[in-house]
Amino acid sequence: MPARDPRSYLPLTAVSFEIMLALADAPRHGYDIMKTVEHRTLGAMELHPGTLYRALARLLDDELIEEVGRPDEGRRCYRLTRLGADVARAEARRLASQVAIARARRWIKDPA
Amino acid sequence: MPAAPHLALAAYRALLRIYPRRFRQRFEPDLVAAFADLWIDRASRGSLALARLLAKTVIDVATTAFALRFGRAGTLSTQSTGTLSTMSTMSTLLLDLTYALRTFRRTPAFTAVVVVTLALGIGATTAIFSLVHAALLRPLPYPNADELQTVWVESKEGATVGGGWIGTRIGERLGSFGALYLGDLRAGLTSFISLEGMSPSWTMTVTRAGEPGPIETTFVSDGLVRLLGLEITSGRGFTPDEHKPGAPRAVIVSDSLWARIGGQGVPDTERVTLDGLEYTVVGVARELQLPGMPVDALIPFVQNPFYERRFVGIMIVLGRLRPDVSGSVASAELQTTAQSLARDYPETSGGKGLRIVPLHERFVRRSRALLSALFASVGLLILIGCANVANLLLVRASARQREIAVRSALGAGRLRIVRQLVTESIVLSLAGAVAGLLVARWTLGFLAVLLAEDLPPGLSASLDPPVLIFTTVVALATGVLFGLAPAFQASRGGLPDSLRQGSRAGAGGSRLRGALVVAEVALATVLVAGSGLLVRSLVKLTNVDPGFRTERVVSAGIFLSDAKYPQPADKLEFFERAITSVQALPGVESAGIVNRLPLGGATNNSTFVVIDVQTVTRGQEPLIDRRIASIDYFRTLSVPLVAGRFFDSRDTPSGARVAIVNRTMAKMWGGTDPIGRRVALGTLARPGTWLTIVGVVGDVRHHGLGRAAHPELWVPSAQAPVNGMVLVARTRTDPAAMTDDIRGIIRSMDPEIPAPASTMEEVVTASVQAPRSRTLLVGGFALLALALAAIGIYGVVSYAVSRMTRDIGVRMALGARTSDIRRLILRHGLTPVVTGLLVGAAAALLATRAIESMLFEVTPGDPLTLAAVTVGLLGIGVLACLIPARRATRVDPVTALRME
Repeated sequence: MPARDPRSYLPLTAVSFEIMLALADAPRHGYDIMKTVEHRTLGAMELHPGTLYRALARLLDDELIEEVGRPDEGRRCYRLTRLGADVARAEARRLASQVAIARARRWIKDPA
Repeated sequence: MPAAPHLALAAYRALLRIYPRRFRQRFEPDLVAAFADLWIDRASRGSLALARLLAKTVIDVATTAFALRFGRAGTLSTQSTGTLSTMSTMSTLLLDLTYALRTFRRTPAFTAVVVVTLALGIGATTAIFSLVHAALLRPLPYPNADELQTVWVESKEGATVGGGWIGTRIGERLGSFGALYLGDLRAGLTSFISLEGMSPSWTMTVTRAGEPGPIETTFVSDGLVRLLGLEITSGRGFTPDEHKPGAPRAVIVSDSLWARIGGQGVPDTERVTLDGLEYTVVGVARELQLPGMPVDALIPFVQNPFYERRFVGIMIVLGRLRPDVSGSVASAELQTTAQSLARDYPETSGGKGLRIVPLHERFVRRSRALLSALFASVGLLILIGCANVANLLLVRASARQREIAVRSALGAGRLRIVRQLVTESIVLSLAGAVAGLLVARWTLGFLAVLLAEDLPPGLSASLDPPVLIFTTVVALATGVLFGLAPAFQASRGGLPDSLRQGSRAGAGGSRLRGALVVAEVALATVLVAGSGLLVRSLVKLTNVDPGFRTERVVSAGIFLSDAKYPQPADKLEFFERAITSVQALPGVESAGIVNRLPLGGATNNSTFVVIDVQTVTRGQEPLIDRRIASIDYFRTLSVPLVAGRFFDSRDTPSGARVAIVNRTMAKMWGGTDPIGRRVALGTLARPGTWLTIVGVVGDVRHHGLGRAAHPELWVPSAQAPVNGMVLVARTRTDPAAMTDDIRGIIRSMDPEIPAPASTMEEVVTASVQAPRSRTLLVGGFALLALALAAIGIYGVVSYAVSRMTRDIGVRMALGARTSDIRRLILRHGLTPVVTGLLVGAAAALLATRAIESMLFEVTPGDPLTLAAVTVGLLGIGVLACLIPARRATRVDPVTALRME
C-alpha cells in the first residue's frame, strides 16, 4: 500500500492534535496523556477518559499512533508512528500559515 | 498511593456499558485505570473537584457513546466526517441545552414546580442514602474492618445470657464472657490471629478540676488498641505489666476528655480520679470510637471490679480470623473449645456453645430494618415525584404537539426530537439534584438527631463522594424515567395528524396519563398505609399502662465509690440518710431508692432462679430480673400491692431474708399463693441464700412500654447494698422545680457525687423517642406522597377537563344538566384513582410486612388501617376531581363550541 499524503488527514481535531503533541517527546499511557495535555494548556483542555480513548481509537485506526507495549504497571503506552509525526508536522504548518495571516492582519502581536 | 473507592469504579464500569461492545472490549481496563487516576487526583483537590469530575464524566461518557454509536467509524476515507460528527454531536447538545433553558425561562412556574418536586424527592433520598451509607455500607473505621469478627456465648433455646452490649437484649441467645475467659479462648481458638476483649461502655465518675461528672469508659485487653488501630497522639499505650493483676492503675483518655478535665503537659505525670480511685493518665488518643459506642477513656481489664468473676459477662470478644482458615475449620474449633470450656467451667459454661458473628453485622443490625424501611419510603416518594413530573411533561408535550410537528416537518428526525425532550428532562432533573443536595444538607443533621436512638452511636453521615455519585445516578435515572415516556409520546404523533387535529391531539396521551395516576395512587397507598400502621402502633404504645404513675416523680442517680464507702454499712447509711433528708423536704410526699429506674434504658441484670427445689430441673433454671428497692419505693411510684406486704422496718440487714415478686413471676407457682414460698438466686448446683417471699406487686414495664414485664424479684435495699442506686421522690408540686433541691441535698452530703436528675415524665418520653421519630419521619414522607398524589390527580383531571371543553359544550347545548357533567368528570377522574387504590392496597399487604418488627400490637395487614387509608385517599381523589368538575359545569356552551 503506497504511503498516503499526510495532508489528506488535515485538518486534525483539536483533541487529536493535542494528543499528538503530548506524544511528540515520549511514549505515554492514557492518564499520562490527559495530564500532559491539561498541563500544557494550563487546564483549558481537560480530557476525560471517554473523549481520550475515542480519539486514541481513531488515531490507532488511522495508524497515526501505535502501541508500544505495557511498560508502566501494565497500561498500554502509545507513541507517534512515522506517518503520525508527518501528519502532526503538516498540521502544525497548516496552523502556522493561518497564524501568519492572523498576524499580518494584526489580530495578534508578533512574538518577542 | 491511595486507591479510588470501589463504589466509584463500580459505578464507572456500569456507566461504560452504554459504549458499543467493541469499544469496551478494546479499552475498558484502560478507561477504568485512567478514571481511577483522575479520581485520586481530584479527590486530593477537595469534594467540589470530585463533584465536577462526576458531572463531567457522565457528560463525557454520554457524548462519546453517542458519537461512537451514531458517528461513523474513523477509517481513512471517513476521517473528516468522523470529526465533523463529533462537532455536530457537541454542538447539538449545546443547541439542545440552550433551547431547553430558553423553554424553561418561558415557563417559570412549570419549571419551578418540577424542580421543587424533584428537589424534595432527590433531597430526601440523598439524605437517607447518606445515613444508609454511613451506617450500613461504609466499612467500620478500623484497619481491615471487614475481617473483624466477634465471638459470643450461645445459650440453648429458652435460657439466656446477660450482657448489656448493643443488640444484646433479654431474650436473645448470644451473650458476653467473664473477663477471665479471654485466656481460654486464646488457647482454644487458634484460627484467630488475635483475640481481644472489651467491656460494654461503663459509666464512671471523674473528679478533677471542677464539677464531678459522669464519663463513659471501656475496659480493654492488652491488644485491643492495636487490633482496632486506635491512634494515640501523645503519651503511650498500656505496658504489658499494666494488664497484670495488682498493677498500678493506668488510663488512656480521649483528647476531648483530656481537654474537659484541663489536662496539660506530659501524660504519665497527670492523675485523674475515677469512681474515687486515682489513675495515671498514660496516653491521650485522638478519638476513642469503639464498636457500638464512643467512649472517653480506656482502662486495663484487670481494674474492673468483676475481673475475677467468670459468671459476670462483662467482656465482648473480637478478633481477626487467619486468612487461610476455612469456615468449617473455624466452626469445628469453636465446637471443641466450647466443649472444653463446658468441661472446665461447668457452672458458667455448661451446655453453652460459641458463635462467631462478623463485627459489621453485629454493629449495623439495629439500624438495618429502620434504614431499609426509610430507604424504601423515599424510594416510593421519588417514584411518585417522577410520575407527577412525567404527568406535567406529558401535558406540556401535548401542548407542544404543534411545535414538534412543525419541527419534524422541517426535517428533524424522531430520534432528534426525543433527544431534545430527554435533554430537557435531564436538565430538569440535574437542577432538581442540585437543589436536592441543599435539601439533603439541611436535613441530614436534623435526621441524625431525630434517629439517634436507632443509629449506631457516634455515626457520622455526610454528603461524601459515594453519596454524590448516588445522587447523580438517581438524578439521571429520574430524568430518563420521567422524560422518556412523554418524549416518545410527543414524537409519535405523525405530522399530518397533529397539524390537522390541532389542540385536540393525543388520545394516547390520556391513556398514559391515566396509567401514571394509577401508579402514583398505588405508591402513595403503600406509603400512607405503612405510616398509618406506625401511627397506630405509637398511639397504642403511648397508651400502655407502665405499671406505675409517672406524674410528679423526680429521680436522681447516686453512685458511691468503693474507695470512699468501702463497707456495705457505709453505703446503706448514706442511702438511708439521703432518703430521710429528701422526705423531710416540704414539697415531697414520699421517697425511696431503687437500683434500676423503669424505662431508664439500663442494662439488664438477670439471674437464674431456683424455686422450691423440686419445680426446677438442672440446667433449666428460669431466668428472672433481680431488682433492689427500699421501703417506700413502691408507694412512691404507686406500684400496686397485689398480695402480702411491701418491704418495711422488719427487713433489716440482720433480719430474715425476704423478697417480693411481681405478678408475672408469681405465676411460676402455677396458681398457688407464692407468699411464704422460698426462692434462691443462682443455679441448682450452686444456689444462693434462700429468700422468703413476703409480697406480690403489680408488673412494671421496665424494659420499654412495648415489652411485657419479665419475671422480677425484688430484694430490700437494706439486705443488698450496692454502689449505684436511683433516688425517686413523689412531689406535691411541679417536679422539675424540685430537682435542684434534691440534688442539693445529695451534694451537701458528698460534693463529689454528680447526681444527674430528671423527672419520670422525661424518662418515659425518652423511652418512646425511637418509635416517635420513626413515625414522624415516615409520616412526613407519607404526607408528601399524599400531597404529590393529590396534585397529580388534580393536574390530570383538570387538564382532561380543559381538553373536553368542547365535548362538554356540545352536551350542555344538547340539554345535559350540571350534575350529569359533574358525574362524567368524576367518573373519568376517579377510574384511575380507584384502580390505583386497589393495586396499592394489595401491594401494601405485602410491603408492610417489612416493618413488622417496628409495629406494636398491630398486624402488618391491619384491616382497619388499610380501610382508613383507602377511604382517606379516595376522599382526597374526589376532592382533587371536584375542583375541575365544578369548573366544567360552568362552561358556556357557546364559547366552548366556538373554540378551535
